[in-house]
Amino acid sequence: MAGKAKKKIHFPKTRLAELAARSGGILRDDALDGASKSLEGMRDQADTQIRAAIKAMEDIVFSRAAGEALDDSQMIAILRHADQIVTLAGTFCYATLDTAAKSLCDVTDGLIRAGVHSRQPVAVHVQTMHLLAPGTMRLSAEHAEKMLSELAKVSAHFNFESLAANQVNDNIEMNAEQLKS
Amino acid sequence: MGQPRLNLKGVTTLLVDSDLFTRGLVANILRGFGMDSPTVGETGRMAQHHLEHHYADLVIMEGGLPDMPAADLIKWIRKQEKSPFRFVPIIVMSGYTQLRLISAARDAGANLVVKKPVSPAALFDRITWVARTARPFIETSDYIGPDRRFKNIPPLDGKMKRDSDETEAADGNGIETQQSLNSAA
Repeated sequence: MAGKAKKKIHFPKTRLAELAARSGGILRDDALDGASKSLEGMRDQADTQIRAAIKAMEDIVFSRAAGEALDDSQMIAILRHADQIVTLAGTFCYATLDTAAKSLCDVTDGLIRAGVHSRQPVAVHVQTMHLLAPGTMRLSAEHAEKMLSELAKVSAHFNFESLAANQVNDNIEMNAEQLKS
Repeated sequence: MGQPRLNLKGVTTLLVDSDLFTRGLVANILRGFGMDSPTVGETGRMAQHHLEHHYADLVIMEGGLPDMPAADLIKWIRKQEKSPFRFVPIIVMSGYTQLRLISAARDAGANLVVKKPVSPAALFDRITWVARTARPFIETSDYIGPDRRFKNIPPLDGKMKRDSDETEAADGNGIETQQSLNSAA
């Protein structure tokens, strides 16, 4: 019939499904335990990666004088390094660094979208992240919270939409309990 | 009932991420699940080249590839009509700054999207989901991929629900069923 879209429906059997259904295998708890131990063995490398990413951002930010703007490629590089730190800080449970890195992503993304490449809000975040990085001086929880609240003020000043507003909403979320049962 | 048990030994995984350390992280998680070491690639083009010559049971890729949008790679995979990997399960990992790309990845035919940082629990649950859930694949003029309306219900009984859902008759009952394509490799 003219104007009606043709549609095919397939019910593919994947090899992943066939292999995963074989007898034997690994229980969820054992799998998570094995993976967590495996990850923990990478913590030192992750710390090194985090410090290197912060150093790279410092090099970018402090290559410019206080009143100067960053250029396009520098802003994008900041975003890339900050995104990597979000991943690593989240994986290895550095909560305060995770918060600061997400705030930097939000501010940098907003500045890029607004076409404003101000150095100062980026610099404040990078300096804070330096202090929150693993292996540096250990801040008290109170001091760390104070620093994060200052970053929150910077973010509030610009009032950019947080990247976290883009939600991941998969069927998996609603079926997570089914999977465990 | 007990917790899920998966046998992932021998599952071949293609892992595509531009960041060396992230590739190492995810590979370590997969090995912790009892999987073999994944084949890794940094770019979309490397992934295409690999898939043209090798098979993968599972593709895990980042949301923002350096040389092409992840959505383009997913569409390319889904359009390989003669290829055994056309229906391969695809899990997209989205970095914090890539969250805007999620809907594009899903509309391109990804099975699932997971936010970075990828925890072992999140990844295991998603692999379990794609391995155990027989999700129909929809092929239309502008979309090839898992049924996005699917909510863990049994496969359709062959009767379309809407007048516009005119299915191309392929096997006499209105539904084209392609099974075991992936096991051909």
